[in-house]
Amino acid sequence: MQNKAHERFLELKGSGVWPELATPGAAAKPASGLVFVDGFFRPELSVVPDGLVCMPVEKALSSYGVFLHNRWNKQLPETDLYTAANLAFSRGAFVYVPPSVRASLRIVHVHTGANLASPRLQLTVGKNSVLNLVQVDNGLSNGVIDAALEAGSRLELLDSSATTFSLTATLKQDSELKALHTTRGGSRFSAKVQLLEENSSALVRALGILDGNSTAEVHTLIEHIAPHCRSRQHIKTALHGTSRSRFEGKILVRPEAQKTEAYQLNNNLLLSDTAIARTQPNLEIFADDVKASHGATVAQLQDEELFYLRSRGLKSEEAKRLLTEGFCRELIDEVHDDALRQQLVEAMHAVAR
Amino acid sequence: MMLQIKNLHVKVNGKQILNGLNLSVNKGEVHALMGPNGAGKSTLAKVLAGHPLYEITDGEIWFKGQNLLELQPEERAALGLFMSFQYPVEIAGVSNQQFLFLALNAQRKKRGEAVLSEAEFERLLSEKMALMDMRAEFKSRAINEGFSGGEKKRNEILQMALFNPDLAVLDETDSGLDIDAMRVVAGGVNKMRRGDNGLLVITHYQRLLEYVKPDFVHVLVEGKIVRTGGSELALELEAKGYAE
Repeated sequence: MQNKAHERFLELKGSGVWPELATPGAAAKPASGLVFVDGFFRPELSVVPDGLVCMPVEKALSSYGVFLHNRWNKQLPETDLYTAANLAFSRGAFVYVPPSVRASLRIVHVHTGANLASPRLQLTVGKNSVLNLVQVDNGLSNGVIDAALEAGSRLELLDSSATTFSLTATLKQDSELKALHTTRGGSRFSAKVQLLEENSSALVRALGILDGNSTAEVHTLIEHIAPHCRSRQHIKTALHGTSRSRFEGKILVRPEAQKTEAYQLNNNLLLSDTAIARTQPNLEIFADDVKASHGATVAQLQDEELFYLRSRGLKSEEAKRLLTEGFCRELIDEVHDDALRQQLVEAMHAVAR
Repeated sequence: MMLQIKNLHVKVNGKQILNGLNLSVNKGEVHALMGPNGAGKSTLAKVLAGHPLYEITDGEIWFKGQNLLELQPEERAALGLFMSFQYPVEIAGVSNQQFLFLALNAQRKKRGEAVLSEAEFERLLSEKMALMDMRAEFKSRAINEGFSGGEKKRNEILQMALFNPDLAVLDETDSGLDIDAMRVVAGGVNKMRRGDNGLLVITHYQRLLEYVKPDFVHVLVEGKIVRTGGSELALELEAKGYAE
């Protein structure tokens, strides 16, 4: 088992899946990154940036046990099947970003077989710290990142998980979460965010580019618990072939959460007559001084737009491509990872036909 | 003869709009097409540009010796036909500059002309934008998105200046413009005139025709040209209306 994982790891080194390793002179380990093999955290293969505390969750239980048990106990009764299964089967990583640290971290998932992996990252971003997190998982996983954002901290997460990924996050005062999930199909992404203290803000976005008979689901629950918090969700999916997308999102504003600003938008672009987009936006508001809205669109390329572009000299397929790019562009521009962005651009060009 | 329309009959959604329209435009001529609402003026503009919704039930259109009705909209553009939309479409996520760069080069490629580099294009665009009194920010803004009515029409004439067509069809380009915007738009139209290109100005009022002087004025009623005259006809129509 151990040897097989190592072999696969070395194989990946030259494959470009892991850009940090492909650079000449790179060590056998990435510049910095957490390595999960078949869902299990492998500290000996991982490189943790200076200043971060990182260890297997089992080890963290001895020094951070009270914190962890508290968190799990609080969440478990309300959590869903996927995160519960993950917790039961995982041997995860615990990462603590101490106060006032800026760090970037990449999570690398290696799969040696076709078994379901259950990678888990238990994350705490300390006071006034900033963490940039990029996760690419091309294998069969039921992954979880559970993040606690301390006061004044910021977490930026870029995720491209090919199967199931759940993000749970709690936000304390003045903290900020910015998450972007991207998919080319086959995925189920869920985000559960609790805005616990004043002036925290959450931005949750997802971009799906689907073709063939692929499917993608996005589930969100944004819970406003404290007053003066902001949240925004933007979920966009472009669909071709017989692909299907599903969005189910909820904004829940508790009675105490006055002066909440919460917005949710789901846009779907159907590029074939056989693709199907399902959308279920929800608002549940129990406070009376709130700005909130939700919107959903399911549309095809507009004949008038195509005609306008064609009348200026663009061929029909060029016009389609430009309009599809126009639809995806605002979220693709937010993908700050060159390899991942390139994959999405290629997928976008492929569906614009 | 640059444009020749013979006995044109057009249906849209099963309803007959044009009923045997005849019109010829020679090189260098300015024609104005006037008429009451619903006469079929915009239908003619859309048919010339190749809108797929309009069904040609009879008649012919020849442009520069080619059967226009056999050409796709983009082929018509490359051949030198330009239509300024009455209601220019807003397109999110695509910058004006990117769109115009791709469109101009698509036309040039189709004509077998050298493709412009981004730098060459940007120079040309800046020059034409100055002509239309447009601020640089319109380059990076999404196509027509959030533009005022006047800005959209300016953007149309900017495209005309950029594409330098042999025949431009202006569909109610003056509607919704205040007097200052109209002067800029009319100035742009006049500056693109080469002496050998044609102009078909579709309008409701004779306002624009004070700036862009027509050689011929046609009156379209119920899908047919019922009267043709010189520029004085526009003044007469303005005074007396279209009713006989």
